Amino acid sequence: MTAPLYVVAACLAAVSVAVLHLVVLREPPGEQLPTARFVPAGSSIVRVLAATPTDRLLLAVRMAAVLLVGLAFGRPRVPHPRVALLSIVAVDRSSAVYDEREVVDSARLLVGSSTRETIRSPTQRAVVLIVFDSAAAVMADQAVDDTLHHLRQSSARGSLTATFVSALRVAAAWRDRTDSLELLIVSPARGDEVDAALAPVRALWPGGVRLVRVSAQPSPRQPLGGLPTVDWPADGHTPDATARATIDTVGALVVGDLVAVRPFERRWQPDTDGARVIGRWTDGAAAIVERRTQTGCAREVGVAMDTARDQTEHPEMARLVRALHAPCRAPIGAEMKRLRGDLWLASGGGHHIPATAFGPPADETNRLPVILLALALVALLAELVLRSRRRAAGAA
Amino acid sequence: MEPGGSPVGVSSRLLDTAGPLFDSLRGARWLARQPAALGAPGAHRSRRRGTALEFTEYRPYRQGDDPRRLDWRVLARTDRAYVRITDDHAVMPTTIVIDASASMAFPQPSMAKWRTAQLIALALAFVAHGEGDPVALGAVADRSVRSPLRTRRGMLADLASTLGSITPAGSGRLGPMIDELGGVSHGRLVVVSDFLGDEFETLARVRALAVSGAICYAVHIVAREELSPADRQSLVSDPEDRAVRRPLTRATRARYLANFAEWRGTVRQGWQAAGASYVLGVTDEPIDRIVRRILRPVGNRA
Repeated sequence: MTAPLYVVAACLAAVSVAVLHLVVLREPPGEQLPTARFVPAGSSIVRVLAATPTDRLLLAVRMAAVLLVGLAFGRPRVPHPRVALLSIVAVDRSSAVYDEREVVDSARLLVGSSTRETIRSPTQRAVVLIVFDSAAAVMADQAVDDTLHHLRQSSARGSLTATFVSALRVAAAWRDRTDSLELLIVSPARGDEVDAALAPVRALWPGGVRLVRVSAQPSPRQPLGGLPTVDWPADGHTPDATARATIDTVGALVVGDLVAVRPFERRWQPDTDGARVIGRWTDGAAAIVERRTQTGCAREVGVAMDTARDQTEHPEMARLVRALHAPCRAPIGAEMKRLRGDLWLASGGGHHIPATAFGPPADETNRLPVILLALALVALLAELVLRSRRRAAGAA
Repeated sequence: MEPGGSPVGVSSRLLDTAGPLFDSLRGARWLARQPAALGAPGAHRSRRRGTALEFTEYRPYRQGDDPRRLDWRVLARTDRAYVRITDDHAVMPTTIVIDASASMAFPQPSMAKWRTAQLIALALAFVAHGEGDPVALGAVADRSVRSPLRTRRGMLADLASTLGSITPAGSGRLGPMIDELGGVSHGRLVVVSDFLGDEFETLARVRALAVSGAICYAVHIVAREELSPADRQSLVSDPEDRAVRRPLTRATRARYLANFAEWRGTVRQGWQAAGASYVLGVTDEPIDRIVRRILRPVGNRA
């Protein structure tokens, strides 16, 4: 019960309703009194305190409505069985995995031990499985074995960020149902599974992570499409490029993770039809495009170079040139990062994290108050019907 | 008439009930407040002077006096002419008008007000009959019942029979009944009622009778339940006027008591101002005590 004061207030209101039902407006029993003329004239309807409540059905409906509203505002929660430890096992099925059987075996080892412990002592441990590639899917405790049995590797790139986001959601959802949590990741943790958001998202996990590293695919499954041909005219006038209405100067060029800050002049607008934009100006306009060819790809650079200003000799430009000569289909500008070991270490504690370290389950939908409010609405409608029937019966 | 009972049976029961009352009133006298009018010789001092043997006083002779009434011995001894005055005694015709309207049948089922009124009327008739006075009875229910002035033996049984045959009902008017009963202006008139009907009309008639020399009595019958109604909420209604329906609650009870007391005071003052004797009789009071208050000379009534 999140707000028990509402329930207390509803109980008091219900008692008040019951007391009000004891007070009945009706004609008192009639009797003859020859001196009745000396009684002050007034309404013959008087308040009578009855010994038992009148119209018990109406009273029951009213009390139910009041109590249901109070309960709904009290925001009750259905109590879940509490466990001592929740193991969140994240299984990588992305293209980075060398052998999916190795992943399944490792995961089964982790999950299986957890499942056995759960069976032996259901209140001690629970397992939640997260299967991820570029997206993560959360499997319930009952579906863990089945999921592992049917686990197949996907061709998508893995995303550890998505894994951490899902793990954080699971942890928040289980906050009130477990004493502590642990996160176990079965993954090769290859460099291409890391993106720029991983570090800040990882920082949100308040503890260590157990990484069960499996063999990684040595190279992308699909071979690269050969070496590119780079077409970089000095004035930036690539084929099919259109002249800009106004020639302006922007401060930077962004290619992948590389940012070249130079006073570039924009004269031409590359043709992006059927091409992949691999470089943009800082305002989002396309600057460099890549087109597929029979032998690989062709990269058209619509950036004018002022050789008089020694722009080509600047280290940023040198890195840009190297990036543009990376193999086709490879991520442009992204340097293959080696995950550092300290990424998995606890920032200040062990692998078991107290559940209270996680915030309230913001995304958990508590439908019980809504159901209670709906029931209260039904009770109020029933009260309206009963009251109108009673009035009609009284009029008849 | 009570269910299953005959007037004779009722009168017999009424007489049986009144037996102890008669015993307690035996020897009681109902002295007239003023000389009786001309009439048959009786127990009450008459306005008529001179014919009786009982000496009262001497009075100086005045022109016009009957010379035969001169006391010659006094004249011879003192040389002064005195007239010998003697009082006559006459009967006092007594008319009892009893209210038998529906309000007198309160409270149900005992009808204590009606029973009290019956016994008071019988007791007064008993005392009057004991002094040789003729007694007439008039009752006003949904129909009028009249019994002429009578002195003969068995009169009480007749009155009991008449009273026993009456069941309080309707909202009869006392005023016309007083007019219908003749000879009231020369005797006593006793009105036994709760005065919840035509009290002002009755009072006007009584005022006129008192001026003409009648001796009037008002016996106000009030039920204990009227003086102190049960302390519970009820919707009370007037048995004589169904339109009067009022809620008697704790809030209105005090106001009712005050209004009722004020009205009783007004009635008492009205009757006393008319020269009548006013006696309040409550149903739970011994009947003989009420009757003795009626018989008591003026100034001694509580």
